[in-house]
Amino acid sequence: MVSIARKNLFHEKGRLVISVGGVAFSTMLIMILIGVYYGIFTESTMYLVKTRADLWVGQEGIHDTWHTYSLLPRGLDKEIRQVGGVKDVHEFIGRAIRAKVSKVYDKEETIYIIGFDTKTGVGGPWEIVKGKRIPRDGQVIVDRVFATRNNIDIGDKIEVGGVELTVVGVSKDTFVLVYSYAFVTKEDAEKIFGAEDFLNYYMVEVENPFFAKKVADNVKSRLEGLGVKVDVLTKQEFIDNHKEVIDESFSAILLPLVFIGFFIGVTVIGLTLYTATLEKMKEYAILKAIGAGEAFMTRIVLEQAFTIAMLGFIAGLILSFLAASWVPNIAPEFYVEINMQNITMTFASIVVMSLVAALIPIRRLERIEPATVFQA
Amino acid sequence: MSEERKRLLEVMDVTKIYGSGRTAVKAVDSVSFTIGRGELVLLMGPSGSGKTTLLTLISGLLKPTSGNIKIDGIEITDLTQKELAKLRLEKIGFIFQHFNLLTALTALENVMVPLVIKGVREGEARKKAAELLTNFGLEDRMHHKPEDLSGGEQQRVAVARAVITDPDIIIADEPTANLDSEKGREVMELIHAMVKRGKAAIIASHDPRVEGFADRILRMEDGRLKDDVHGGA
Repeated sequence: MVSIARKNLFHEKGRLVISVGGVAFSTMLIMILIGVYYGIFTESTMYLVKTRADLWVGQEGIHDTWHTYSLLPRGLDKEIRQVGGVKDVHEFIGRAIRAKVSKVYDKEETIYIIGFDTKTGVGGPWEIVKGKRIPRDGQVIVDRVFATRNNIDIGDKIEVGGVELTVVGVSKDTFVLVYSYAFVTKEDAEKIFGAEDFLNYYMVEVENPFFAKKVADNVKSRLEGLGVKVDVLTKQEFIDNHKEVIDESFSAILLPLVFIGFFIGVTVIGLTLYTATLEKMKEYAILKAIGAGEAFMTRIVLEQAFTIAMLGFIAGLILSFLAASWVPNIAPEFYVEINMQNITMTFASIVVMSLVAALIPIRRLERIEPATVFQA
Repeated sequence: MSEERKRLLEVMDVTKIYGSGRTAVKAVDSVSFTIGRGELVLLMGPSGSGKTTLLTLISGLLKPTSGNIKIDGIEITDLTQKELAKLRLEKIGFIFQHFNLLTALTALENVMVPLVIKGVREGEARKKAAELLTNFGLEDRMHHKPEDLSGGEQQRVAVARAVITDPDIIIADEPTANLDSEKGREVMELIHAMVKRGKAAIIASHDPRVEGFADRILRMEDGRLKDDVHGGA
């Protein structure tokens, strides 16, 4: 059917390009902000996802590895292995600590040192972009963002807790927004933290992850029977706890920005539709005069709004994918995750935007006086 | 055909006052007349005599202050805006001095507009509009936009748009004012031909060329109907 709305829009190509461009950039803004939000979740919990641990055994009261501190005596791994369903147990020694960067010696930066068993590799880096994956004593594998930010390369030295470490590898996806993970041997970690009799967590592999919760309860009972107060969290519970921390920290910052993007989009579509309506006022009066009802007029405005919104959304989607692949080159800290949920949320925002933006022009059309068609 | 049906348009003691109190202006003052099928009526009078206001009232685009207007037996002063819109779509065809075509649409699409509003299927609407434009001698111009058409062509497109829904009454406001004498005559011939097929037309005009097509001439002055005489048709 002849679409008066689309004909009107495409008749004014310059205005259409500006409107679609405005919506496209709003779409990109919303999508990138939501993408950064999801990216933070994904990147911050990547360590837990990638590490071969179905259960995390920590001191009673633990919530996450960043804000709550867990200290447990060594030797409990033998007890944990006795619990039915347990396949293997690994030690986790790690916490945030200030590091001196050798090239700029007076500069310090916080990193999260993880000491892992270099024989099994469990708890260590999972993707290396440069150098080697398993460090020896006196060696460290640092994150790519940390390396880039501090201009560190293989062979450079950093000092952590009085221990000098040579960088032998650079890992990927080991940045958790405020600091990055750095991987050393268990022995070096003990030296750095000065706690040879203690560790922070036991990482437990179970025979069948389906029964992980049951095994967790049994591990807790066994250790508490020995007088050791622990909490045992499944991998998913531990991941959820970390996500909760991120959510509490960043929602307050990112959500207002998403709202600003939404507001800009509504304004752009609204102004475009309103000026297009004003410009065509006489023509709308003609339509009313020859018999177009309110529903017909409303349909024209809504169709114009949706056409602008959809074209803008498609252009914005393409821009977002381009930006998402380009952002890490200039800001490696940011990982932009564009997934179906992100796209769906942005699409829903754009639909709501066009509805909101169409309201004022629709009201304006309702007030058009068709009798003006007889005026010169 | 009943007497009432023969009287396609009935204007009964219609008055329109703009404003109120001291600033009140009586644009139309107690006007009464009827128009039957097959009649082309010319509404003449100087500027400000109330011609355009009267057309606006007959179209149902304004409500009279008092009096009654019936179109094909339907009292339009009692209708809601929605009912009036439907009545205009089905029973009235409009032709304006400045053509009033939609600038973003082609000639063909402009003619299709009333059918689009009515919800007629596109294929049918397109076929009907193309036939009409061909009959009006615009078969080579139907895919052009108004800006690419001459004044005469635009007005013929406007006439086609006015008659595509087969309305009972054509209401025209100075349809020849912006046309040269030949194009003006062509447009009047089109309107005249429609009227002779059982429709009615009321045309407000200063143009003496139109008089030759009129069955009756109504002369207005200061909002009042001064004369109702037979025309030159």
